[in-house]
Order: sequence, then C-alpha cells, then structure tokens
Amino acid sequence: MSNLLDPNNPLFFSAVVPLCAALAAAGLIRLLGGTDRGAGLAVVGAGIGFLVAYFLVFGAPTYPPRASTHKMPYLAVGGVLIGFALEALRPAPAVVRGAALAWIAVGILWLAESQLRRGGIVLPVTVTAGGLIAGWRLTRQDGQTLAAPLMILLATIGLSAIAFIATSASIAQTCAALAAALGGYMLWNWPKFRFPFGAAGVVGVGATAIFLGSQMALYTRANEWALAILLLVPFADLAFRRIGPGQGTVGNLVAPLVIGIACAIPAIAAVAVAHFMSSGGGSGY
Amino acid sequence: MKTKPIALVAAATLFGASAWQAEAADTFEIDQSHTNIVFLVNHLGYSNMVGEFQEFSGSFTFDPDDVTNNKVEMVIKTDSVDTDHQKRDDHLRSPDFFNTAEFPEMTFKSTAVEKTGKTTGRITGDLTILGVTKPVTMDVTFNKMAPHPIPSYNGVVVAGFSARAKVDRTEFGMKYAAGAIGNEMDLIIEVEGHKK
Repeated sequence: MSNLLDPNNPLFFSAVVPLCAALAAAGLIRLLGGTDRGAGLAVVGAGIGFLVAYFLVFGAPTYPPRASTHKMPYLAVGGVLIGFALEALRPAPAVVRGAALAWIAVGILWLAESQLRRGGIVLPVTVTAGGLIAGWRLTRQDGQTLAAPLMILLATIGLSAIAFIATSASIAQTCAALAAALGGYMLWNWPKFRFPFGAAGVVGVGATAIFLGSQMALYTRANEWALAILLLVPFADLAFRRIGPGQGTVGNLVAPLVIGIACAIPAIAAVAVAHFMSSGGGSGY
Repeated sequence: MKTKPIALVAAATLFGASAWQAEAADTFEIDQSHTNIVFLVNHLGYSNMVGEFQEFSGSFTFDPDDVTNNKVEMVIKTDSVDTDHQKRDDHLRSPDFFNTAEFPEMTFKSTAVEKTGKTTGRITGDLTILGVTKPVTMDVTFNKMAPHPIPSYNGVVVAGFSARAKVDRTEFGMKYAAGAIGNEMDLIIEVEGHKK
C-alpha cells in the first residue's frame, strides 16, 4: 500500500494536505474570531485548505489568466474573499443568495469566454443554467446542518472520478483536493455540529465546485449525461427530508449518514454512466 | 514560372547572397506534406517522448538579400497533436496540457530575423499557447531553394529550412505535472514552402 504521507504520492497533495490545512485553518479562524463571527467564518478554512493544496501542486497562478485552468485559482480566491465579506457583513439572506448566484454566473461566463468569443452560445448558457440550479439549491440549505457540505463533498468526488475517466488528471486532482478540504472542515462538525455552512461556504467552496464542473462541461471530454446526473446531488435533501433520522444525539449522529447516502446515489450513478459510456480509459496510461 | 538558375545557386548561399536579384522577398506557402512540427518532452527523467502536430498552415517570406525582410507566420491545430498513443493524445488535448477545446490553435508570428552564419539564422517571434503570448527564438538553417525537380510540380520554387527551439511550457501556464513531465520542450521543425 502506498504511503499517503509521501510527497511523491499524488494523494498527498490532493487529499492529505488540503484536509490537514482546512482542519487547521477552520480551527484557527474559529479561535481568532470567537464563538459568533469565528464560528461563522470557520468554513472559509475549507477554501483556504483547497487553495494551499492548489498552489503547492500548480505553483503561482498564471497572470494574466487566459485559459480556464489559469482562471480557476482566481475564482477560488475570489470566492473565499466574497464569502468572507458576506459572512462578516451579514446582509439580508436575499442579498446573500443574489450575490452567490451572481458570482456563480459571472464565474461560469468568464470560464466560457473562449466559447463566447467564437460565437458559442448554447453550451455556455446551458452550463450557466446548470451552475445556477446547483447554486440555488445550495443557498436553500439550512446552514446549521451538514447537508450542503455533504452535497458538495459527494459532488466533487463524483466530478473527480468523471474527470479522471475523461482523461483530465489535473481537474480530477483539483476536485479531490476540494473534497478533502471539505472533509477537514467536516471533521469539526461531526458528530457535534459546530461551524455553520453559510454564505462563506456556498460562495467560498460550493461555487468553486460548480466552476470545476463547468470547466469540465465546457472543455473536457467528460460525459455530459454524467454531469447532468450529478446535478441531482443538491436535490438530495428532498429525499432525506422524507426519511428524516430524527432529533437528539442519535439523530445528530445518523443524519449526516442519511444525507450522505442520499447524495451518494446520484453521484455513483453519474460516475457509472461516465464509466460505461466512455470509450475506455481513465487518465492512466 | 521560371527562375534564373544563377539566382537559385546564389540563394543557396543563404540569407544575404547578394547575387540573388531575381525576386526579393518571395512568399512561400508551407507544404504540409513535407513539413514536420515535432516536439520532445522529458518523461519522468526516463526518456524523451516524441510528439508531432499533424495539422497546420502558414507562410514565410524569404528575402536572401535582406534577412530583416524575412517573416514567418504559422497556425497549428492543437487538436492534431499525435504521440502515437490514443490515451496520451486525449490527455494532451485536455485542459491539463493543450486544452484544445478552449484553444483550438496555437500561433507563431516572427518579429525579428538575424543572420548568424553563411546558411544559418535566428528567428525571434511571438508564440501563443493557451492564449498566452511569449517571445521564442528559433535557430534556423537554410537548406535549399530551387525549382522542384519532379515535372508534375511544374517547376515551382521550393525553399527548405530546419529550425530548432526550446520552449518552457510553464511560461504559457501549462503547469500540470511540471518537473515530472519536462517543463522545457525541444521543438524540431522541418519545413518546405512552395513559392506563391
């Protein structure tokens, strides 16, 4: 078995580093910010953990950013900063939702710049619509539960697998790093929920996951049906509401598992579709 | 079209052969069937992988009397990358490397030409990959210019060059697996052009 702590192991930078960095950053933000602001801002630690891993893998961002791969770190940093500002200012919920959706739309259209320049309209509009649907569902989640982070976690794991099947190893690695960073944040929140997943979570982490999925839809051979199925993940709460695990200690323990299973079903289905509809492969060769 | 033999001989002495008086600054269209754009990139230190771009177009202007008049413009279809391995080619087309869906073309446009020897020169130009433009310098050797010997070519004047360059892919933001997969790519270009 390969050693996860070996820097030559790809999993070191796409799993161990973001998980540990997010775990440390979330705890530090909570410590420095206090029980109210600090707890609200702690989710930014997931975004920071992701960025630490990203910069260690890819180095300094390319400036000026021209390609979607160049733009991704700027979008991730922008999301963290906007999320931080929204969480610090705490405007009305409608403003938060509007800002989150506007950020998602602007980010996707920026990624789609080369398509738009060449007159491509249908794909950028479709991808933007998909991103807005996912973003809208995330903004509708209760920030006092693990529902939204679990949705993003399972969706990014699915994206990672689909990207790998579509022979885009760097996007697979980036998605894995985002999932691991979310894992670092979630370790603080299970079994006892501590840090809300508010605007900072949706914009600083959720939007980045949406941007990665959008990049895949726009510029890779990722199976479009698989990506469409993955859009069902943020609707998983509609299923687990019907099979609610109850309240109290047992409920707190079991609820994330139920949510996770509800999110995993479409994620697994999406990966299966990508696998069986691919011409064979994966990034390894 | 006929070209004076003495002029062709003189042209073979390369950039600056003063006897070449026939037609200065002739423009040549790149002959795809006799042009190769090859790259070598190190693979984990074990070997240098060889790849090639199969589709491209372009032209060059060749003035043996005054090399400063010489120009080159090329457009390369990134989707035509070929390393003789389908999965690797798919990976090279992905956003990890050439990102061919987002950037279907890469381009080279010369900005300066200088003579370095009897048949050698140096071309500096703007290379655009992934939307990023950086200056690149190629060492060029002039091989031959003469009417094509095969009758079916109707005596078209053909000019041939060999060019070599080194390109650091990370300068263009192509950073995936930097270090493990060589940052610096060796470019080998063998080109023939038909006079327009």
